[in-house]
Amino acid sequence: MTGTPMEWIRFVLTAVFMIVGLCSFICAVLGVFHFGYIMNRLHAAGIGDTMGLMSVLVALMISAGFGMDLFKLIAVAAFMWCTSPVSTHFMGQIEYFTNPDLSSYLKLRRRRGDTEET
Amino acid sequence: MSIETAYNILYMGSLIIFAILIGVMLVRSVIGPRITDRILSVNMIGTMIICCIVILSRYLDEGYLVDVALIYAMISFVSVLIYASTYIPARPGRRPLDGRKKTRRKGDRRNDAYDPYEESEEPGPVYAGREAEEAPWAREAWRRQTGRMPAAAVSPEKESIRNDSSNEFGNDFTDGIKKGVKKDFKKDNRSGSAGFGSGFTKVPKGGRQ
Repeated sequence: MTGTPMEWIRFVLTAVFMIVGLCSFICAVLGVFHFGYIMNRLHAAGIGDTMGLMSVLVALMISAGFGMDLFKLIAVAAFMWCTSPVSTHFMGQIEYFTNPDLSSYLKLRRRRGDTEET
Repeated sequence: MSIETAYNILYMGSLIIFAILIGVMLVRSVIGPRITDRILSVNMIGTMIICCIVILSRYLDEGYLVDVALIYAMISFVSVLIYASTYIPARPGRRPLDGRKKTRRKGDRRNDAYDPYEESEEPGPVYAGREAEEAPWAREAWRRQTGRMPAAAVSPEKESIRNDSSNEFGNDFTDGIKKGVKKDFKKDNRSGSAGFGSGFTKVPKGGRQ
């Protein structure tokens, strides 16, 4: 086998993080198909956006070594971690405002303008 | 086996698995019964494509592909924002399509803000200000026609209305002013941010899909 032990250790670390990331994405996709309602699917999809993406990017950071690529990958990870919860929140709001049958799925809090006829 | 071969096998295997996952999410975007399922699947496909691009950047040893992945992440985020701005109404009196109109009380003026989900009626002339006391017949006619008080009939500066203790015009606005309490109109209107409810406990009616 060619390559120093240090390079093989780096490869093993890369492979471990990559496999963890792949398993996270598989769990996220399975969760999206397993649940029946969009709100639960949003929760399952968050696994892919956070853990899956972070593991894959960490694997590639280890493989890239110390250089410009490392900081670019850190920038991608930081951006996705900041914007993915916002996207999820907006998707929940879209569901709240466009579903006329919301009360049959969710237990909605009583609001001040409501009477008992709801 | 050399290091490069091992890395190539790892990257190729990851790319193949990601391609399979993207195809599976495409199925969800086709069969998803609601619009939000499709938006979610497109967002997840975008995340997986970002992973594919950064893996490709290491596989081909091209550093600029990471910049492409960053721009793609921004575009996918902005696309979800545009979907949201299309479907979420941006008016102060906004509320969901939940049929909450049925729960309006008579004389409840809180929902008099413009509501895009309500069909627009022909309002006719509004008698407000000084004319409001001189023409109570017009106010009564409006109330009979539309079933609610005219929106501009009450002004807090009017002495006569402030001292008016008749119950048929009773609404929270003048009551609050009589008691000297400032009423925050905006806070009472339904806005979307407080509305998620207490939990996702129910299974949809058809059972699990």
